[in-house]
Amino acid sequence: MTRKRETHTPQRFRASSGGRIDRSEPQSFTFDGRHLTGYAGDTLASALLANGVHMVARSFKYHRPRGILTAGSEEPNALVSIRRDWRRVTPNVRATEVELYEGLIAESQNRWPSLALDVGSVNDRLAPLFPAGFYYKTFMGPQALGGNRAWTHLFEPAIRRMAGLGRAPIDADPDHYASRYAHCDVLVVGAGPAGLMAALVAAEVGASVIIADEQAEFGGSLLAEAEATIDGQPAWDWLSAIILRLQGNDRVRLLPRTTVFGCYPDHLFGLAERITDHMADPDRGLPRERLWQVRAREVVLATGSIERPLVFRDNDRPGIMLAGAAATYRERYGVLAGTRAVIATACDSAYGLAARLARDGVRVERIVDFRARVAPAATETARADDLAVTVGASIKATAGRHRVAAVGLKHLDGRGERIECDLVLMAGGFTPTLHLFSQLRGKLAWDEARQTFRPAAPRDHVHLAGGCDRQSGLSGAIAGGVAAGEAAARANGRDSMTGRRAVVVASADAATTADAMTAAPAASLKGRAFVDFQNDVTTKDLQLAAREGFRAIEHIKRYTTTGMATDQGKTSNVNALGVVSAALRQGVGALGHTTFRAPFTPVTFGTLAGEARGSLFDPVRRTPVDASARSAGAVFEDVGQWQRARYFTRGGENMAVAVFRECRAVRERVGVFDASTLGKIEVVGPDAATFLDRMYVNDISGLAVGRCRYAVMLSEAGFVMDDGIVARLASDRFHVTTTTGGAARVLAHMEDYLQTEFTDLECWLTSVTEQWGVVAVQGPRAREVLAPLVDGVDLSGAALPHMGFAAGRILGVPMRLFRVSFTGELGFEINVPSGHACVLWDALLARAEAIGGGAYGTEAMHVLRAEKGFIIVGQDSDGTVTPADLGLPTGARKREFVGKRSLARPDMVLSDRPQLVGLESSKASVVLEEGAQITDTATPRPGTRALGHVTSAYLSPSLGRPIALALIKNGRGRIGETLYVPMPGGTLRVSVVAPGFYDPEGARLDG
Amino acid sequence: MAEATSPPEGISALAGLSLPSASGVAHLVEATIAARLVLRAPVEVAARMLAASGLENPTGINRAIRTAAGSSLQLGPDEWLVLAASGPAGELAAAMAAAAGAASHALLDVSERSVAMTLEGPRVEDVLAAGCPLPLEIQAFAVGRATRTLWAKAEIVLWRQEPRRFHIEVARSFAPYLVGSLAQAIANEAAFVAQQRA
Repeated sequence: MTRKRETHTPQRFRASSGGRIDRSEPQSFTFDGRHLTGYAGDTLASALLANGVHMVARSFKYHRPRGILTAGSEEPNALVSIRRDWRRVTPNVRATEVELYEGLIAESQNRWPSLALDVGSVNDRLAPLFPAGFYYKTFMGPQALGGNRAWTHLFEPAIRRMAGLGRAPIDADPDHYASRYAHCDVLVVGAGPAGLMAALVAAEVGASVIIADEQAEFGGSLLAEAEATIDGQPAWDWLSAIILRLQGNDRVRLLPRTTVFGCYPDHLFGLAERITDHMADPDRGLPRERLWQVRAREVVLATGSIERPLVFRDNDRPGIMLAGAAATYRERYGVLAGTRAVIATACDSAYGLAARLARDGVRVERIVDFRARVAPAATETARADDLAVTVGASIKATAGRHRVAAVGLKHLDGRGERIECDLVLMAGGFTPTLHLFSQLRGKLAWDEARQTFRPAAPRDHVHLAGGCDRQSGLSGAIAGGVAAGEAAARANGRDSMTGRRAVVVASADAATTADAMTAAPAASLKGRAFVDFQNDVTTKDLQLAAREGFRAIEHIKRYTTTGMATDQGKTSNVNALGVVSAALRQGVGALGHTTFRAPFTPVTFGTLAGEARGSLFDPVRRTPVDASARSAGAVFEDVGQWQRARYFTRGGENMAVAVFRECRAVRERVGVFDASTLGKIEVVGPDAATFLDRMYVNDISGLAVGRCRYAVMLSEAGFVMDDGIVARLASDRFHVTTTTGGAARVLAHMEDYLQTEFTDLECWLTSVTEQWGVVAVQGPRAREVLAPLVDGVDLSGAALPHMGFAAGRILGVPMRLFRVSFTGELGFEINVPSGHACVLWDALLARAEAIGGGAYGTEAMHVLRAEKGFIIVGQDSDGTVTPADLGLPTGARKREFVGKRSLARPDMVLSDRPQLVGLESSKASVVLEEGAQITDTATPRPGTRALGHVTSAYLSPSLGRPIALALIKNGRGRIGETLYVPMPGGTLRVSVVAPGFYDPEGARLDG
Repeated sequence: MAEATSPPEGISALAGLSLPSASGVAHLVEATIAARLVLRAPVEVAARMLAASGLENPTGINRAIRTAAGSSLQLGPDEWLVLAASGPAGELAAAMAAAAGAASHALLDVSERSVAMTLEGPRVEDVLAAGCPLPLEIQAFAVGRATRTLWAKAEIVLWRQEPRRFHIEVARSFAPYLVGSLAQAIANEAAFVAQQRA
């Protein structure tokens, strides 16, 4: 579809001069397909207003036309989607924050088929059907009506589609994101006059400083103060000079476009920096955004304040905006938000603004002061400029479909009056931005006189300056900034005065923030007065919640959703409190406030993920045998971060066929297995044996040099946490293996005990997991495969019996050789320095294959050990089983070890504890499902508790039938019994047997 | 000893990986370490053992010192990582153990446990700040400082050898991850540098 180019004068509402935009650089953009132009330095919002576009969105719930309320990150209405290309669509961004660039494509949201003709706006007529607590009230339908099926399948999805924001992108984000750590003496949040001064003073006193501001340009409120003077210079000249000084100081890092979104323990701050979103054609090598994690000793909060709207009927029409926003659009962007303005105020700040607008050629139709009494000074200046002021009146209604066209006043004496206008400005007073102070655990108190929250007490290492500290006016902000910067620097011990001291006297107070009052809308109001614009919460919703018995503001928030939108109620929270306070006849101070949580403004998932995506999401660890295993046909599986060879496929075999072949090879000839991922810890020192005695259930000090022992480690609660082999290399030196997944945990567990409990013991722990590559050779012909490669070790059963250890050389490199078996066959595990593992593997595999053996993977390893009834910790145990449950030794009575005392607890010795047993299935073809429940009747009644569950189940190639291990209550007492396993295909009958299925007497260990 | 002939050369965990480099930012190269030893002992015993093999004891925890024989990094109150200039590890270990006499200690050959890389360049601090949470400004982490720390999700040992040169030790299975994620950080930094120049 082609659209006609704009025919009316482009940028009709752009003043002929003024603003910080670059008029030499026009930029074209589209909004909902309409071609418009703005200038470099515009935001999307200012460019739209310059073109007279006020209606930019439909509201969340009622689909009401909405305009641009603010000029900053607090914007609740003007949420749009920015489309860079088909994969780069960002929904729900605030038009007031989007920097204009050539070719920008913006689209409105939550409307169909178009912004002007929105079908969903029917919701506005149906508003009585959507009261506060709508979800809670409607989604608890009676069972008789089919439960909530219709709601969950029909109505709720429809409602969710209707009520909403932009669409989340479906495709993977094509951009990349960066992360960055930084440390500084002083972090300054906000680069308005207070923040800039704080940064400058702190840096010149000697502190290292990071100053961050969410806006593209530093200056904060100064950017809307074209006419102010500071130190006798124009404010903007002063601003440039300060920024130059900061840039020239190598102790200062300036971060524009960076939002300090969260405060975390120990003064860690989360900052989101936007890097490419403002560029027309960004270098794709640049990350789109960057997460800064800043550790700051001191923080200066110079976050300013947020103006409050006034609450009156239909206060949400496009063309109704905050007075301060209109000033910003005029001063910073050279945009007049309208031609005929009504200024509704409860604050003196509006009077100066009115005079300025009038000078710019806006007809100020009326200043409507909601307050009954106004200081004469304020009204006098307005009257001096010939501006009409009505004190003590209120706005009863507004008119206009897609833009405000008139307001209806109600005078103090009850008389009504209609005033035509195209702009209504609201000045409801200022709320200090204390989100971060609150996140830093600062307590807030209600200041009744000034009708704002303020810090109840100072926080250590936190300094406030400017508007957020209720310092009014420029000189107040600058003085506050100087004080905060100096205090923050001195708290760091930086008082060397290395730099020139900043001396600043602000001579102008452009904006005065006099006392404001909170809105007091009548409960009897007809129509709707919006409090939370983003979530469409009205005074009636809040009053209803109060009538329905809600008292706590946190509950009212959740019931009505006020303050729960992505803007977190920046413009609405205090007004909501005012309404609730009136409804409950309770002071705002007594009501308290809701909690401020990170992030201050939404942060993209990309920024939080940073580089951790795709191949860098998590380390992928490959064993030292990996390259050789790959060429031997390995198919890998994830085991934690490790890639382990699951099976080795030959000529297109599937897993079942390969595993069957691999198991047969080990049982009949020989198999070669990569065991490198086993955790390995070397324990050295005169007390090494004593230490291991205390860490394992099994006796270690009785182990002879050159011998190994299977050992089980318990948690302090007495449950099995790991197992492995302990080999005694020398009287004071042990090589301990752990499970693959337990390697780091076991070392940490041991170090914990060694450093905190067993400080009397002299021994040291060193992880050698990655020093050694491990190849296991298992099978009746293992010895003949290994022997020719080995130097200096007698492999005979007499010299190296089962559970023997020897050191020697293999293929010319040092090795640690363990005669151990996890298959039940004659077996060796050969450890060589990792760099030699591939060569060792290749040599062993060639010899094995020459006699009809081959490589086997983790799947065959699992089957082979299950045939023997050997457990895998974490599969056959689950953190709630004891050694006795598993049929393992429970330790000598005299020796103490970690977890021993817990084994004597009454519930640890109950006879019906789960015990490890084997199961034999009645059906020779069906492998039980791991995790399947076991019952004592074939068709248990619903609610019957299972006796236990299947932990391991395989088809056994050696036995030619399915086998399973299970944990069953009093399992050993049930050997011989018949039990039942309900399976998807019908209940199976199983008989309980001892857990060793193959060679239970262990005759094959010697080959 | 008959075994003094050096054993066959092992395969580096960095084999097959291309190491990142960006002019004006930083480049990563493999550092060959002839032998690595972990020494655990009381400080006076360790000092004696280090001296016996031509090494020196650093001036404190998280410090490293280099001699012709090699480098010693003190990583804990009773923990040293020795990076020997020449191998094999066995000879060095024997000399050190002899110096310990009867004093108890733990001395392990961990030559193949990790791999070493050198990251060097004008923006090396910025590159490292992308993944390492420690303050690495020269004032905070001077030449000669060495510590066990994190790079993103990998544990590393980081040693500042020169103002703009860091030695990095990482367990061999984490090496591909470390190289890949350093490559990303270097590329990002190169893009930032290019943007600043533009």
